Amino acid sequence: VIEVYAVTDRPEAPLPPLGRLERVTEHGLAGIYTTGSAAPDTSAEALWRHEQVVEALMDDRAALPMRYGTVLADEGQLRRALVDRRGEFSRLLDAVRGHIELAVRVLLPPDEDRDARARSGREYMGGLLRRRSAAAGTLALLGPLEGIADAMKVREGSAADHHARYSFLVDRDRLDEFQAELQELGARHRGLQLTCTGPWPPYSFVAGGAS
Amino acid sequence: LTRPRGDKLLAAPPDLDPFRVPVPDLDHALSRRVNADPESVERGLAQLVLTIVELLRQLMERQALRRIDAGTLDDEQVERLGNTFMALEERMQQLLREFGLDEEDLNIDLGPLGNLL
Repeated sequence: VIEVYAVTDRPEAPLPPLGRLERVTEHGLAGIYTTGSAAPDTSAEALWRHEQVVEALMDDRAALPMRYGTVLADEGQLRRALVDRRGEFSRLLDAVRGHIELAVRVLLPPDEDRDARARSGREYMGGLLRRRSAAAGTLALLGPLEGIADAMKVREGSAADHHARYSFLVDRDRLDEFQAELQELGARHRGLQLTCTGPWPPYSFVAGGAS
Repeated sequence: LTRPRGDKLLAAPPDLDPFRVPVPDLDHALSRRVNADPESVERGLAQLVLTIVELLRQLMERQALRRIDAGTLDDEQVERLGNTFMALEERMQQLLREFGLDEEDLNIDLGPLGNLL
């Protein structure tokens, strides 16, 4: 089997010197892969190595990052995917070219009633309404970040951890602006607790097209 | 784009403790597909059935909230709906325990379509 890192443009660009990378090229696209095992190494180190390869590819080309653990039977299957889905891949590459993903996690206000058992049907429905309203309120606070980003996705997390997660697709050149707005948000809303990590390859913005 | 791991944190409050969450191990992350292994087919089938029930439960809850917003439910109907959802949620938790599943197991990875829930 082969483990796929990304589908990229600039098929002729040199591959980064990280491990034994290979490629198949079709119609101006490259599929970057390494010969792997059907049961990928599940250590955090292995995941970071995958990340390092995808990020290195993004240094000098547009890339549709594949999630760690994306395996295909052989390079022929990857080649067929490039041929059959070239239009879709090209459109997605246009959308993410020059962009990075930034992940924002917001701590939701505590909901004391959340873990308590509702005593009536009305109370239960009231809890649902409150949680929906808290999530909508958080999203509204992040409006200025959405203004800088070209796309935003709400990421689903575990219902139990009181966090809201968002992914922003941001032009690389606007990273500083995004970070400045994060500082502004913190200053304007003293109670708002959030973290932002990145830059990441735009994993959240290729699902549905490149998986 | 390439930064050392430690530099990936672009913004954070001084106290990161509230953001700590248990991280599922990668073995678990890679197994979030329906397990069709004949040895554990019962659990795999339960996972699939409960996932569909959970999906329907969440859709029904959202629809109920929309009807509350629109003011088309009277107090008695809200009470009855709330009791039904509450009972369904409790029963789901019982079944998850019985089959050794957790909520994350129901968020099945649909590959190109993303996660179900």
